[in-house]
Amino acid sequence: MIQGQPGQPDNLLEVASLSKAFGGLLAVFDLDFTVPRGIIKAIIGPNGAGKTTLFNLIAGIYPVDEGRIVFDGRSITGLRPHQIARRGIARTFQTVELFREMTVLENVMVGRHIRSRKGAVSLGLKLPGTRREEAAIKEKARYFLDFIGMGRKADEEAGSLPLGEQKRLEFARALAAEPKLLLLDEPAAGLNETETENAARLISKARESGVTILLVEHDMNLVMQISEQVMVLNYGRKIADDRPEKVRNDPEVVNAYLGVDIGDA
Amino acid sequence: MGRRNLIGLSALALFLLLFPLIGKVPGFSHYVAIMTVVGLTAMITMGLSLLMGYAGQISLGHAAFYGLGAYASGILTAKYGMNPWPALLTGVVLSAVLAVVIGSPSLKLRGHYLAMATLAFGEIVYIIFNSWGSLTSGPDGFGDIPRLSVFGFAFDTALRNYYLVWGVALLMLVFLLNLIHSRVGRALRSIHGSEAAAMAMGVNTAWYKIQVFIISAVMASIAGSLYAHYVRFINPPVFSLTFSIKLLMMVVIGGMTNVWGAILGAALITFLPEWLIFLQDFDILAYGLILLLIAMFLPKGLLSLPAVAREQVRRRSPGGAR
Repeated sequence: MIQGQPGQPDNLLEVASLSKAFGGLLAVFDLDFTVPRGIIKAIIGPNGAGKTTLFNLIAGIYPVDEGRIVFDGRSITGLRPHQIARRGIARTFQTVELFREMTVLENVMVGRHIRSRKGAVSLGLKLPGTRREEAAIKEKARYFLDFIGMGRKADEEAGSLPLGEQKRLEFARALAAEPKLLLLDEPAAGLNETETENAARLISKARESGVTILLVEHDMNLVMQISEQVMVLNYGRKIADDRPEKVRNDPEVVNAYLGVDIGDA
Repeated sequence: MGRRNLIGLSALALFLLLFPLIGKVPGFSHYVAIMTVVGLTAMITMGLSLLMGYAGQISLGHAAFYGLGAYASGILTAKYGMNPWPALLTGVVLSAVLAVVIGSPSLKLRGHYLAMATLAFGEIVYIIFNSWGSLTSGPDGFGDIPRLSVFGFAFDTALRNYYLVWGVALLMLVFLLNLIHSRVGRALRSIHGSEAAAMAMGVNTAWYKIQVFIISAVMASIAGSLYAHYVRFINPPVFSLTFSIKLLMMVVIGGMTNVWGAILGAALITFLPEWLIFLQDFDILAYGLILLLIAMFLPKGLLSLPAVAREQVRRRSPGGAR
């Protein structure tokens, strides 16, 4: 495990006593967990276990009912989504959320939004410096497009891509923000075997470049292959949180999946 | 800004430069005056198209911003002897401040709260124009608004005003084209594509919508000031809800999400009554019919005509799909 540098907390994300209810349904209940800096951590659990709700709480889409979320040593509880993005959390979506009518490159360029700052008036008047910033945005966007191997598709309309490429593009867009923490919501959903392997490779490659990754995924092969920690949720509660090989043999986990073979990778 | 826009801009500039020649033709001498009104109207519709097409919001109050600019300039210059340029700036500041006040609460919410808020705002402003007699001279309006001048050069002929208005309109067009092809333009389009993803990428969606609203209000206010100094007489009816609705129509007819369409829409709707004058009292019927046809067959606006026509030809030609 990578240790934090002096002055940096070892845990990039700390969640304490987090709860969220929708009406009478407890989606997340009294949840505590941490994400150490520099690792890949997976969250698994049966459908309706609260995984996506948890993501939406971290990303600020839903307000937190109770508890605290501390990111990189500072509380992000109660911040709005764009403020959380500015702190260094990027994400992908379970159902792909691309800017469909924009080109592939433009999608990634939006990913550079928080890494650029020129305002409407200076841009409209083309004040000095705006051209340079635009060029820098484009260059970095191309870099991340090449990173996922889609440089040749830069000028295609994002909505016209096949699903596998759309998911990769979403990944590049999130990476382009150069986040500290990347939330991936089912990166392999809907992908075939080759595409899933490709996704695993890209996720590992992103981690090597220094991004901490928290992912929700149903594909157990993928989870066991790339994660250093696996947390299991069931009915909004944590029932396991450990190294993959330990989690795989945990009786409570096996029980929660009720006969579903999660370990035979 | 892209090559196509540069070509379009040059073509439009050349067209506008030569357009006054048409005024020399007998029977067409008033065309320059109508075209000046088109320029003023286009300043408002361009900003509105940004608001409607990119921020996905409707304003029913832009006639009021137009009126605020006109009345600020008219009152301050004609009644208080202020120089026209600081008077224009006063109108701009007033409009921007009011846009923030109206826009901030309603654009933080999803849905069409801005339409409702601007509807009320437009009515309030209209009532003020009519009722605050000591300041606005009420329903009668007032005249004797001075001409604009720059360094002793007076815009004192119809032709000079034409070039002034279109000069300003083209500068606004360049400003908007620059803006659209920038990180702010991309942010606006991303909101249109997926608001959830835009927020996740750090785009402050509410603030961008407010900014677009402010920009469009300022453009309408400048148009109003220029109108006051051009016509030199103002009275309330020009700035009523009817005109706000007409502005929306122009944007939709021209084609939303396209500032070029906004200019085209302004030109068509402004010139139509002139072209339908031979129908006398029935002109309103023809007017309605034309709008209906455009809405039915060109739902994406007049600018989509070439694409739609090409598609039709392709489908009808033997051999079908290419």
